[in-house]
Parts: sequence; structure tokens; C-alpha cells
Amino acid sequence: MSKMNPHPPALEVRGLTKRYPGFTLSDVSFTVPAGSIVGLVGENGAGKSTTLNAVLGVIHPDAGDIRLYGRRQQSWTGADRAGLGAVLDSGGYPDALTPDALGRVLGDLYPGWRPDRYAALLERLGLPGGKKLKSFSKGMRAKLALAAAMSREARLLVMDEPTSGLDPVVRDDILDALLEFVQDEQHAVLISSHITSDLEKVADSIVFLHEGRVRFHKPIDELRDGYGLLQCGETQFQALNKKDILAWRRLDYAWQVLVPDRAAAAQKYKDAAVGPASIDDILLMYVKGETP
Amino acid sequence: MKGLLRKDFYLIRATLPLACLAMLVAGGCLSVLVSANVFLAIAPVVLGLVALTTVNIDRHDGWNRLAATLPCGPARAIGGKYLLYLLLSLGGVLLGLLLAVAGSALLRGWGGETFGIFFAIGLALPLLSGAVGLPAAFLLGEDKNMLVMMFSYPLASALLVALVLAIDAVLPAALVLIGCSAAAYAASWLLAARLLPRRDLR
Repeated sequence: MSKMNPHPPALEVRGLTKRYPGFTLSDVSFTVPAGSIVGLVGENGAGKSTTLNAVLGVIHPDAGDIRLYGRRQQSWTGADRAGLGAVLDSGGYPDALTPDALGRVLGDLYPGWRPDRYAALLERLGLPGGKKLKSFSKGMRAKLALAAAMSREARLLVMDEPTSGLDPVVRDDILDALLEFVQDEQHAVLISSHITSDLEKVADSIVFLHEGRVRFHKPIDELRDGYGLLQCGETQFQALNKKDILAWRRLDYAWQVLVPDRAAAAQKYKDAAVGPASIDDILLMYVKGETP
Repeated sequence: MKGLLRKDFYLIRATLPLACLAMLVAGGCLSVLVSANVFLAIAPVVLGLVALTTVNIDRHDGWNRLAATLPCGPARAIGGKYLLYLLLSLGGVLLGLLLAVAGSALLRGWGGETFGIFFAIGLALPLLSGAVGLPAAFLLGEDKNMLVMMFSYPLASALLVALVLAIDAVLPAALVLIGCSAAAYAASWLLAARLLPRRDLR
């Protein structure tokens, strides 16, 4: 996993608000430090794509401030935009083009385009340069989008579900490429994904969106090493100190409780079973459970 | 801008020869019935329509969303479409000119005044329909956009007839129509580049 570098933030989102009929993305704030990978998680309709689209400038926020390496979105120049690499869920590259043709197009569009790096990445990722994109699988398209973003001066990659629907081998290739991308501590990645196991492998921190709001933004280490799931019976549950609880769910025969400090909970509630909580567990507890 | 035009060229590379073939067949038949000068009106319209299809292809491929993140900015990405449409329409004017001259020589049916009228229509019609059709293509879905385009042609023709009746001379009316069409196209380009980037893309 990459090391976090708190200064300066590659991306800073403050108070991002976007209203739609029936849905509001409300006061979303988080930062993506340079040299880090930040995962954006949440259920369908939580506001992940809205957040990413606002960062990319595809939609216009009703309120809030978005800064790329300190520069406000409203004053972005061509060079700032060139520093932003987008890997969209919709793909984005024309079906009629081949990777070679796309390279020529992007070479004209991006001043810092590196054809040699692009060719090397195509080869490394096993992408045929002369085949039309319409014959590409989803995995090949995701790899191509990644190669295109990494072949120019993109400093921040914004990726919307890049690994969904891909087999584990392709996903692993993509995750490896992301880790390589942030290794120099200058680049950063903001990635949304439903495959939280992928994020557990590469992300430095997780932003959890629920019903258009940020529920938490925490380092992955804190979630992995600190958070825990406590299982207990009715009597034990009633005896728990509510300050030790983040969320709970009543299952058929037991209570499941999300605790922020697994070790402390195990020590304090010796009769209860306390185990680690995956990101999926944490999401489920927040979405389907109750909070104090 | 060069990259945008290159991308669009790759998109239309396959459809352009087919569109030209269709135009040749339709224009050839009409030439026998009316005059080879019809090529002057048909060719720019057909090639302009080819440019218009790229807007829908971009939407289908998701390129329109990606274009918002390009270094050139969304306004220039929109301007790229106007430039493509203009270049293809002007290419159509040249092609139409060549075919009209060749057809007239072949059919021995040269008519100076009809040449002028068709030439004016060939310049004005794509500009006027593009002024309406391009923003419609960005804003509306494919079906609604086709409807807008279909209505833009009779609108342009009605404008020409109105001008002829008002000015009472065909060629000056045609020149005024060209001027109006060029002004409408320029205004549409400016407004689209200014206003369309403000909308959200879904």
C-alpha cells in the first residue's frame, strides 16, 4: 500500500452540494492527499458518481469548493485539466477508434502526451493497438482508459467503478497499475467501487457516502485494525455502553454491533465474540443497522 | 481542436463514402429530371448531416462527458463540432460545384440563374439548419434532434421564398439569405460555446 503524504492535497472537496429532484448530495467534504489512493464507497444512489462528476466538471455543483492541487475549479486552465485523468463507468472512448488511433487523437489533445509510454503500457496490459474498441471487453476498455490517463501528465486519476464486472486477474492488473501510479508521491487516485476488497488492497483511506452525505472519511488502517464486529445476546446488548457503539443490527438469534475499537471492546466485553470488520461489514452496519 | 477534428474524422471515415454515394445517386437522378445544379444544394446538406451524426455518436460512446475534462475545455469541444460541420458543409459546396459543372457539361443543360439560386441554397441551407440542428443535437436526444433537423429545411426554404417575395428579385434575395444564414450560424456557435458548457451532462 502507498504511503500517505498530507501536503499538499491533490484534491480538496469542501461543502459540495448538488440538488436533484428526490436526491441531494449534501455538504460533501474530503481530501485526497498527493501520493494516496482514496476509495469512495456507498450503496447505489449514495452520491458517488455525482461526487466524481462534480470533481470532473461534468456536472456543476449548487454549492461548494473543489480544488485540484490548490487551484479552484472555476479557475482551472488547460494545464490543470490536463492534470486530471478520468476513467468513467461509461468508457468514453469512441468505439470506432483503435488504441493506436486514440493515441494519435490524445496526442493532439494533451500537450504532455507520451506516445512511447502509451505504446509500452498497451503492450504491458496486452491491448492490441490495431483492434477497434467496439470489440474490446469491459476489462480491456478499463485497461485502455488507465493506459491513456497514465500516458500524459495526469496527476490525479478519478475513476468511477473501474473494476466492476472484471475478472480477478484483470482487477489485479489494474490495482497494480494504480499502486505504481501513486508510488512517486506526486500522483493520487480517487476511486469509487462496489468491490470493497479491491479498495482494502490499495486504498489509503475510505470516504463512505450514505444518502448523499459523508458518513466518515477514515484511514484504511483504522478501519481494518480498529473497527470490529461484536456479536452478543439481548442481555449483553442491553448492558453495552452506547458510547462504545457505532451501529447495531438485530439478527435472528443475536445482536451484531459495530465498534470503533475492537481490542478495547474485546477486553471490556469478555463474554461477547469480537472479530474484525471488513469494509462491507461496516457499510452494511451503517446502511441497514441503527445508530445511537 | 486538431485532436477533436481528427477524432471526428475517424468516426465518419466509414460513413462518409456511403453518404457521398447516396448523394450521388439521388443527385444524379434529380439532375436528369431537373438540373445538375441540384448537386449544389444536396451535397452540402448531406455532408453537414454526417457531421451532425458525430454528436450522437459522442453521446452514445460517453465521449461528451470525457470532453468536459479535456484541456481545451468544454466550450472549445463544442466549437469543434461547429467547425467540423462548417468544414464538411463547405466541402459539400465544393463537391457540389464540381458535380454540378460536370453534370451540366454531361447533360448540356447549363443554366446561369438556376446555378446561382442552387449555389445560394447550398450555402444557406446547411448553415441555417446547422444553426438550429447543432444545439438541438447537444441538448436533445437523437429522435427529437432529427425532428428539429427535418423542420429546419422547410423553414430555410420558406425563408428564401419570403425573401424572394419581399425583395422581388431572386439573386439579391439569395444573397440576403446567405448573409442571414451565416449570421445565424455564427450566433448559434457563439451562444452554444457560451451556454452549453453550463449544463450538466448525464
